[in-house]
Parts: sequence; structure tokens; C-alpha cells
Amino acid sequence: MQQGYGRSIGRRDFLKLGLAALATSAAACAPAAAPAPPTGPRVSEVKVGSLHPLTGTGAFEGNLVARGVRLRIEEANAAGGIKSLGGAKINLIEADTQGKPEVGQSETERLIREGCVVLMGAFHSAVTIVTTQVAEREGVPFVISVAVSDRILQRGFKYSFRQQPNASMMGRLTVRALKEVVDAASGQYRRVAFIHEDTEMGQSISAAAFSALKEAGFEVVEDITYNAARITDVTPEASRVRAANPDIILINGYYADTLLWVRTFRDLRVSPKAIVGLANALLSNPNFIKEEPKLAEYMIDGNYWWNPNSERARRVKEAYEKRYNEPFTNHSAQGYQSADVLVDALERAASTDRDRIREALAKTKLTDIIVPGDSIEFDETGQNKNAQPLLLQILQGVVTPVAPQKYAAGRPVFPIPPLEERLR
Amino acid sequence: MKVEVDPRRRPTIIGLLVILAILAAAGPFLASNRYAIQVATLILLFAYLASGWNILSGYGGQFSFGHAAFFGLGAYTSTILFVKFGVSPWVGMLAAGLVSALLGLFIGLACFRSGLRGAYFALATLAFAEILRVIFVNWDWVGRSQGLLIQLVGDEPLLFQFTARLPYYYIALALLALVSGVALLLERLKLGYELRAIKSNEVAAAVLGVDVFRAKMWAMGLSAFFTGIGGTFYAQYLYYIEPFQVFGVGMSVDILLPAIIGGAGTVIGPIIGAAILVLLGEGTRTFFRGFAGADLMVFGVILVLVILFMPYGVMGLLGSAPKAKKESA
Amino acid sequence: MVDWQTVAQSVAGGLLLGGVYALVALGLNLIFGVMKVINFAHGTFMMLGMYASYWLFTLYGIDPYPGILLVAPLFLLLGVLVERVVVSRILDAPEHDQLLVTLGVSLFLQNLALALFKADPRSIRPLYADWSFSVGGVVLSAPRLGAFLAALALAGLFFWLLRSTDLGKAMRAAAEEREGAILVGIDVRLIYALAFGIGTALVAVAGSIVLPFFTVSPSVGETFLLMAFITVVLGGLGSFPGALIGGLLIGLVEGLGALLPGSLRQLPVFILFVLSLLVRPQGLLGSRQ
Repeated sequence: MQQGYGRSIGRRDFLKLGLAALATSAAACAPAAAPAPPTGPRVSEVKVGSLHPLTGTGAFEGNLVARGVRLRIEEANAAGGIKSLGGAKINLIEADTQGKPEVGQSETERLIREGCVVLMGAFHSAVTIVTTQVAEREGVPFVISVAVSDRILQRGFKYSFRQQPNASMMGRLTVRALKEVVDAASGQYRRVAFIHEDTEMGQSISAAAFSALKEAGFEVVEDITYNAARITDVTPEASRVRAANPDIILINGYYADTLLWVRTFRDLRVSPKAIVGLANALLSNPNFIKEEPKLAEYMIDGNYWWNPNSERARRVKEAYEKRYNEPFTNHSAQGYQSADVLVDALERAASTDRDRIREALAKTKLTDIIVPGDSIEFDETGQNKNAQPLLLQILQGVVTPVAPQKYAAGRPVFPIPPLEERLR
Repeated sequence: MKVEVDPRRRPTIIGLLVILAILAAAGPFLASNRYAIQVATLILLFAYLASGWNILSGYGGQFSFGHAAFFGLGAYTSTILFVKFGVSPWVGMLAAGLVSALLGLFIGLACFRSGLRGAYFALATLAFAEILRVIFVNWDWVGRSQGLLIQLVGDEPLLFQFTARLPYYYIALALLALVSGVALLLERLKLGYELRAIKSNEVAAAVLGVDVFRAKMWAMGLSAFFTGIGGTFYAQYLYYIEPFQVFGVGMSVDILLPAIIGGAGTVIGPIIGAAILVLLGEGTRTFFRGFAGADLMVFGVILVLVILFMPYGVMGLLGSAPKAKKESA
Repeated sequence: MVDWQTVAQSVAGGLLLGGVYALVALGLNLIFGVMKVINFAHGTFMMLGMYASYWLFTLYGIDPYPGILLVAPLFLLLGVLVERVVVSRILDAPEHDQLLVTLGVSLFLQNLALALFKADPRSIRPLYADWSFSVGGVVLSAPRLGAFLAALALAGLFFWLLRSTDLGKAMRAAAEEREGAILVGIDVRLIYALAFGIGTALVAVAGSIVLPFFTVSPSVGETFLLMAFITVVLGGLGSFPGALIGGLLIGLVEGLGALLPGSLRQLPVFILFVLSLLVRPQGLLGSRQ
């Protein structure tokens, strides 16, 4: 949009000029701690692309993430847009990857074609691998909203950034938090049955968890892989687990399949000292509590989450629930936080130039965040080195972070009461 | 081997040459728009794959619902050769075709010897693709469900990697020209006539002296060969393959649909079909942005309408498709 | 760890689910047997049946089992409608065209469900969800046992229909010899519509009885469809006892397959499928066609 030279100064412009003048003079007077906020060219909008599975596999979570992203962008626009670009509004263009890599690839090309200067996405690791590739080739920064596989950032890319914990962190740190909880209880609980689904997600997380389990001194007494999409009955596998008599059952899976597991364990009267999820889509999901309140109680999950002790997180939760009339989930939290990183970077970049945005992203040092960690800072591969999952437990019908201590909102219950007691 | 050009066939040859020429000339113009050339390349790829499928299922009438088996195996063959042994994907492409052809011959041997036809054959091919998928998902050496990543080395034509999009477009076009040429040739050779006879009435064909088994095996081998090569292209285009994608039922369906929509058993049908399907897919996805599932609903309706009212595809409408009689069960 | 109890449990679990596969296969078989149509939308109707039961339970508190009295007629009508509008036009088309048309119907319905109900997985908690019976160390959960028994009962009802009613006889006649059936005065078009309707009703009811222990989402039909196809081919296309036995066999093989390492569980079923196609393409109880 052309700036009309010679048009009269309207009230908004006067206000902006006034504020700018105030800000500059304030900055001049202030001690030399904070540098003056950057100012860039005045543009009307910044195009940002959001790639998620809105249909097909993963559509449920994909939409949650996309909504989290949208909320943050809407907030930014309502608060006056990107100030360093003269109040430019963020034009969020959403695309559906359908959970397929080549669709993700096409959509990425299309978004870049439509003028997006930075992209977000894509939930599925397989799709994200391909979309970040396109972005890297085109020199467009890509802020990963959700995608767990380590491999995404192991290709020497400069334009990809991820705020959430990666698979190794999920596996390693969950086991570490679990060990703390287990050690704090009296009695020796070392026997673990490990159940994981067989796609990219399950494979990458379980690999990290396996070594972490060994290091932590756990004994894996049964190891089961399964296909989440095709499974109709897990009775045989569940009986194998029962026969192995584990103290702890560790499950990495999606919603419907994990529900099948939990119910089958109930049917077979399997009563471990704890059922723990590893980035599990069911065990920290409020819907689960609604559908199976008795079974859900005391379930544990190690997953990405928001910081329960953060005031900002509380406000975001309220805003989300008001805006979308549905519970705020950890998926939406990641979407929100990633968009937050993006907005911050845009402000600091003060430019719609993709390389400047990339630089700003690389230098991110965000402390006002809603996720755990002292700050969000990216290492040379683009991974947030302070990312960490939390150990969550459903206590009194509420998903409650219980470990690490710093981010706990409640005390963990371990061992959990036996099955018969829980079903009463 | 004297190849006569039947005067009735000339329009097809001319039509094909015209289409190929237009596509070739369009390249540089498309290249200026990275999205357009991406879509165009996909059209060419699926036109190619559908043409390969066509050899067995369109001309030969042996409807395969599991061509993803050849596609995936081809993709993995060349990728493994490159990633683990440093073999150039160009060589790997050839190897992919051969390995897939071998698989095709194996499946053909099993199925054709038992006289599997029609729905039974279709389901058997589906099962084979699924078997391969399950195997690859659980096989450590090929990366299990994480699949294989191809290292980006920048612009290395000898290693089948380009930073620009245009070379991929022309490679796909060349492949399409190749397989279309083979289809054209097939229409004139004895094998082509045999396949058509088998498609229309297998029992009668056998009575007339056609070696049904041999003809089907040839069709299967050729079809699998080309499909495997297509897998290599896909791998080199996306730089990433994993079993759910390349061996999936969705891929088998994506491979056969263009031929059905455009007209099975014709040379140009798959090309038209691919153009329609890819553009329709892109169009409905863009148009219905935000309304989850609407684009696929439209797709489903269109599929039904096409089969009901244009069962021989677009080429059928134009009067150029060979009509097939329903095989009595 | 694999001990005898695990094996016994696997066998039991497999058989219980096999009953459901059999029911799904029966519907598919009816449609194929009478009309020679391969119905790719079969699994989608099962999914819709599950949703119907889900809403009946969630909105009106009607348990899936009594809900069958509502679901069955509804899907009978829906099946007849689909047959009249779409399927009747492709009765004489090549088999792959039938596959594709029904695929198109499936795509449409599945995505309609997605648009209406969203992708969220949903399940119910009926009264008997937690009940189970222990038989010789093997645990049978009430919902699964119920589904098995209901499947058998429905199969029995279905066989009675086929054997003893005029409609059943007419359907068998139309299946065996269409021209002859027309000559004898059977309204073949009506028979076809009813066959498709009954087949659809059967699979929708299968969805109802599965809901108590299963989660529904728009894509859930695909899994059962694949198993149903395998069952039908294994048991013999056109043979109803074959579909029953085939279903139980597939359930059993799948259950035992779970004792394999990794997620190779599905492999034995596919391999069995391919072997049966090669060795005995007409299926266990089918007649060579």
C-alpha cells in the first residue's frame, strides 16, 4: 500500500508520532540499560503462514495447535500490531497439510508464493521435515510450532527454530523426573513395561527413553511396539504385560489407542504402581477425564506443558477458553508460545526481510514465557536449549504438574492406589 | 519387427506430441512461480505413475490396488543405495526399476498362476503393499517408521539434486514422454493386442491361442519397472521417504485415479486425469480453506459422478477409449 | 513374556473380536453375494453407525444395545437410498468401477462426518463398562463379550432370514441366478435395494455393539473394512458360513500375531490372506466361480 505523501496528518498518526516522540525521549533519559526499540519501515502488514493438519490424521491436535497460534497473533494485532514496523498487522494465512508430506510441501511453496516472510508448523514430524526443507531452500524462517523428532534440526539448517522440547529431551527428562518421584517413595520400583507406537513419533521418543531408563537404573521387563492406526484390540499385548508383572507401565501413544490400553488393563485387572505416559495424547487430556473419570485419576504423563506458576500462562488459558469455548490444552500452549517467539522476533527484526527475521530469531532471549524454562534461547541447531517437559498427574480430576519441583502445582502420588480401590 | 502406424492411431501420436511440446515450452514460464512449477511437476509425476499403472491395469485389464508396493520399493532401493553405499541416484533409479520389476514378476507369478482375477487380484495387490509396509515399518536397517532422509548437497546434477525446480520438471516430463512412448508402442505390438484381448475376454483369448500368463507377466514387469522409477523421482524430490507414505493405500489410489478419470487404456488419458485431479485437489483445498473435509467431500462426489456418467474417463467422452466388457464373475 | 495364560488370553480376545469382524463381513458378503458389488463404503457405514449410537447415548441416554432398534431401521433406509441413487447404476459396470464409486461414496460420507463431528475421538461409558468375567484365568470384559454374543445372535437371525423367509429365498435366488429370478417374477431391483439396505444395517449395528469398548472418529471404519475384506475373501465370497468362520479365524490370527515382536502383529493376517488367495481363491467355503 502506497504511503500518500502530502496527505494531512490524521489523529492516529499524531498519536503515533506523539508516542514515538515520548518513547524516544524516555529512552534517551533512561539509564543505558535497554537499547532503544528498533524502528523499521512502515508496512501495512506482515504475512505469516501457519501449516497444520486441519483434516486427516492428527486433525484433532493440529487444530488445537493452530488455534493457539491464532490466539497469539490476534492478541498481537489487537495490541497494535508490530510496533517496530509502524503498527503493521500480522496477516496469518492458515494452510492444511492433511498430514501428508507432499501436501505440506505444496502448501509451503504456496504460502511463500503468497508472500509469507515467516512460517510456522507443522505438527507431524514427517511433514515438518519436508516443509522446513522447502523453507531452508527458499531462505524463509520456519518456527516449529509442534514437531518432536530430533532429526528435524540435525541437518545443519539455519532457518528452522523449535521452542518445544525435542524427542531426546522428552524421553530423557521425563525419565529423570519420574526417577525423582519413584525414588522419593519408599520401596524399590524398578520394573518397567514400555509400550510405544510405531510411527516416527513413537520411534524417536522411545529411543531416547530407552537409554534414559537404563541409565536411571530401571529394568525394562517388557517392550511392546504397536500400530496406533490399525489396532482394534490390545488384549494379547496387555496380557504379555500382565505376565511380566511390571511396577510401572510406560506408554507412548495417541488418544484412542492409549484409551484402549488403559481400558484393557482395567479389564485384565492389571494394577501397576503407576501408568506413565511419554508425550501421550490421552493421559494429560481433559477429555479423558470427562470420559473415564475413575480410570483417569492418578494417571501420569510426561509432556510439554505450560508453566503453572506463570501468571501470563494463567491469563492466556483464560483468554483461550473464552475465545474458543473449549479447554486450553498443552498443544494450544505450544502453538501460542511459538507464535509468541515469532512476534518477539518480528519486533526485534523491525523488518520484513527474511534474513533479518532469521537473525532476530537466532538471537532470541525471551524470558516472559508461558512454558517452563528460564528463557527461550536457541542453540546453533535452532533448538531451544532450556525446553523441558513436565511430569503431570491427574489429581482430583485436574491435570496437575507434579515434577520437577520448580514447576509443580501439586504433590505427586506414587505409588498410586490399586485398581480395585480406584474403581470404587 | 515392423511397426506399422495405423492411420486411426495417428491422432493419438499427434495429440501426445502436441501435449509434450506445450509442456516443454511452458517450463520456463512456470519456473518463475515456484508454486506453479511445484504443482506442474506433481501433475507430471502422477501422469507418469498413472501411465505406468495403465500398462498392467488399463491396457491389460488387471486392476491393481497395490502399486504403492512397487513405488515404495523403488523409492527405498535408490535411496538405500545412495545413503548407505554412495551410489548415484541415477544408477539407483535403474536399480529401483529392476528391483520393482522383480517384485512385480514375483507377485505376478503367484497371482496369475492361481488364476486370480478381478476383485481378488485387486485385493491381493493391496495385501502385498500392506505386507511391505508392515515389514519396512519394523525393519531397523531401513530406518523403520522414521524412514530415510537424503542429505541435501545443494546443486549436484550427477547426484540427482538441484536447487532450482525447473530441472525436476523436465526430468518428470522426460519420464512421462518415455512411458507414453512405451504405451504407444505397446498399442502396436503383438503384446498390446494380446493384452486387449485378455482384457475384453480372457477365456476367449486363451482359446484363440494367446499365452495369457506370459502376456500378463510382461505387462506386470513393465508396469512395475516404471512405477519403481517413479519412486526414485519422488524420493529425490522430497528428500525424505517413510513407509506409511510410500507404501500406503492412499498412494496406490493416487496412482490409479488419474488413469481412471482420464481414461484407462489410453495414452493421453492419464495425463488429462492427472491434470484434472491435481488441479482439482489444489483448487478445492484453497477454496475450502477453513472448512475441514469439504474438499474431500467434493472429491468423493466428483469421483462418483465421473464413474457413473463417464466410466471411460475423459477420453471415453471424446470417443477414443477402448470399451471394456464387464468380466463375468 | 509369553506364558500359557497370555496365549489363552490372546486366543480369547482374538475370538471375541473375530465375532465382530464376522458380523461386518456378513453385511459385505450379502451385498456381494446378491449384487456382485464390492462395497468400499462398508466401513464408513460402520463408522456412521457408531456415531449414531454415540449421539443416542450422549444426548438421550440410550444404551447402544437397545439403540439397535433405532439404528438398524435408520441404516436400512440409508442403505436402500444409497443403492437406489448410486449403486443400482453400476451393477453391470466392471468391478473396479464399483470399487471406485463406493470409494467416492466413502470419501464423501467420511468427510461429512469430519465436517459435522470434527476429528475428536469420542467414546462412551455404559453401565457395564467395568464388568468382566474370569473364566479359567482368562478375563473376558463385558462389552467385548456382549459384542461377541450380539454378533452371533445377529448372524443367527440373519441365517434364519435367509433360510426361512420369502425375502431370504428371493435374495438367494437373485444371487445365484439373476435371469432366472426375474423370469420367476422376483422383483430383482427391490431385492437388490433390500440386500444393500440389510447389509448396511448389519454393519451399522456392528458399529453400535463395538462402541462400548471402542473410540469413534471419522477414520475408524478403515481398519474394520480391511479386516472385513480379508474375512470375506478368506471365508469365501458369497458364503455366509464362510464369513462367520473367516471372521473368527482372522480375529484369532490377529490375536496370536500380537505375540510377535515389534508391530509385526498385522503380518500373519496379510500373509494368511495372500496364501489363501493363491492356494484356494474361492475361500474356505466358497464355491469356485
